Amino acid sequence: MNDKDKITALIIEDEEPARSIIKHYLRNHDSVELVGECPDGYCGLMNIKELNPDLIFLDIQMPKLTGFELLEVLDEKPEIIFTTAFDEYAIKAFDMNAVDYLLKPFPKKRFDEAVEKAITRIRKGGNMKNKIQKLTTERADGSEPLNRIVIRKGNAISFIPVKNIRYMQAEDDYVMIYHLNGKALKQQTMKYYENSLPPNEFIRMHRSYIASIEHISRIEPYGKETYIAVMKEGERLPVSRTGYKKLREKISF
Amino acid sequence: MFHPIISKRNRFFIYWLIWLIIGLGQSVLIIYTTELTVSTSFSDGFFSSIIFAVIALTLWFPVKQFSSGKNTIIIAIVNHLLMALIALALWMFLTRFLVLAMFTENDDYRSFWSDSLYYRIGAAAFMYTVIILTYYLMISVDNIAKKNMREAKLENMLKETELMMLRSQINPHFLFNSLNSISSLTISDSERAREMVIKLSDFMRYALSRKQDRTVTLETELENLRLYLDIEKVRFGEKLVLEENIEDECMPVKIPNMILQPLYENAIKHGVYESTEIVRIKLNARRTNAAIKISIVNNFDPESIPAGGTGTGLLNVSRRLELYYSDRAWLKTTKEDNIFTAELYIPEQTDIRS
Repeated sequence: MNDKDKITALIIEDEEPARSIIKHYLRNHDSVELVGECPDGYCGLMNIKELNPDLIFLDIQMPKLTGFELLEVLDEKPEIIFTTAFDEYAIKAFDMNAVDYLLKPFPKKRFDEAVEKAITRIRKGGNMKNKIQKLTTERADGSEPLNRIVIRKGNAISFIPVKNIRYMQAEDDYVMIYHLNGKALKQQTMKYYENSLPPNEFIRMHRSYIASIEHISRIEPYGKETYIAVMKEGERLPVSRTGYKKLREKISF
Repeated sequence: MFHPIISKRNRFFIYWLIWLIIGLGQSVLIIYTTELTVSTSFSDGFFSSIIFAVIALTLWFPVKQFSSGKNTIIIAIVNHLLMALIALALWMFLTRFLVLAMFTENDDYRSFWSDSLYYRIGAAAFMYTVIILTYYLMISVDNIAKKNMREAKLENMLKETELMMLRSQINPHFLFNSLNSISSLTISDSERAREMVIKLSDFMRYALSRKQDRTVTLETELENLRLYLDIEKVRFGEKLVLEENIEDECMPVKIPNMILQPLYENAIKHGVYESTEIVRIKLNARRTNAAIKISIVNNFDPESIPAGGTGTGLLNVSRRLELYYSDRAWLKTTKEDNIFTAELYIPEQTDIRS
């Protein structure tokens, strides 16, 4: 919050008419000050870092970075009000502790309620937003399988296409992603990837490993009732007993 | 009630002609092999023929009944034997009674009856079998024809349903985002808001139309497509640039309705949604020999990896073309550098609905 105790807000939304209606509705809220607007997710990311707003109005489907991907790469999350035409993401939005989820087109009354809720939360929470909020969701956006994973290095954003992923390894609160062009660390859970990656292409073969079936070269027995998956590039990864069962169901060897 | 012989005039005529010949044959045979008078011989020949013919006609109804029932084989055999017995007895009794009633020289005729009894029974059994088998044949031919018709009808219905489903797959998000734009315009520019409501209504009416004529001229399709594009222009503003290069002689060519919209939607999804640059979508249409070639070309960001999307739009277009034209129409998509091209080839046809 700034000196005058005003709440700062940022609009991240790719369609101009959609931005202007939020601006119009905001005029009645004296305690909220609009500090910027962005037509895409990447602009949103940069502006959040720079302006440090208390509240963002966030669309989901946007160029460069979707609303959810933007949240994934943020270190500190402002309070979020989603504004979208997609009703299928509501559960995930609330998983992520969003203040509210406005379905387009939304009436002013509904918008006002959402903003009031956000104001209350921000006033009460004080420094809450400076704590790192972890992503606790266990599912991907809607029903479609994941197609890309967003990686942030400083100000740079890059994507790993899911088809380039060879395997993933759990590392405490993180997941190390080994892909065709190297590796990348993501703050995410194995459960999330297990649920979100295309189920025909990936397999959770161990508590700490998810592998691309295509990149497994062969399976070798290792000790009593345990196995080793030898990857095409030579890595030897453990396969648990249940993992081995799942593997047998998906591929015949 | 339907009867395969009585209901068809020429069949009925041929049926009686056959019995006339049989009656004639029997009469001649009697004249040459017995001492009976010519008139008695003819009476016997024709009465037995006519009576048998009438009884045979009525047999259709029990046969039809037996064939449709779920009787066991034993019951069916008993049924047929009983029916045969009744028919035979009735036939012999009536023939004999009528001929005896007509003539006085009863004794000759009576002795002829006892002489020819086995021949009569044999011949009658043979005729009876032929007729029953013919009836069964007719029933099974009819059943096959009915079954084929039902199957064809079912297949047609499935095709219709599939076409309907494929056609009306307008992305609901388009509708909600458009309504949101309208909601916004009511504040800043109510005149444009009203225009947009009308355009959206007209477009939805076209897209959801359940009218029978599912092919329209390119001109009609373009008129309605422009409604859709005008709405998208309001949403995306300067980011969306549209160009057209259409030969005039293409306009009257018939194409399935709402076949271009999914291609535009695809271009917008992968061009406009994924990129922050200006996206140009260009439509080219030209007429080649007995076909129309339409291409929709857009630039896109080749670096971008789509966040989602399963390409159902393009698949639906392909499937619809297949249902309409089997393999005579096609959709081809190509990606080159930063240019995406969707090419449609549709044969000209006056009547494509089968």
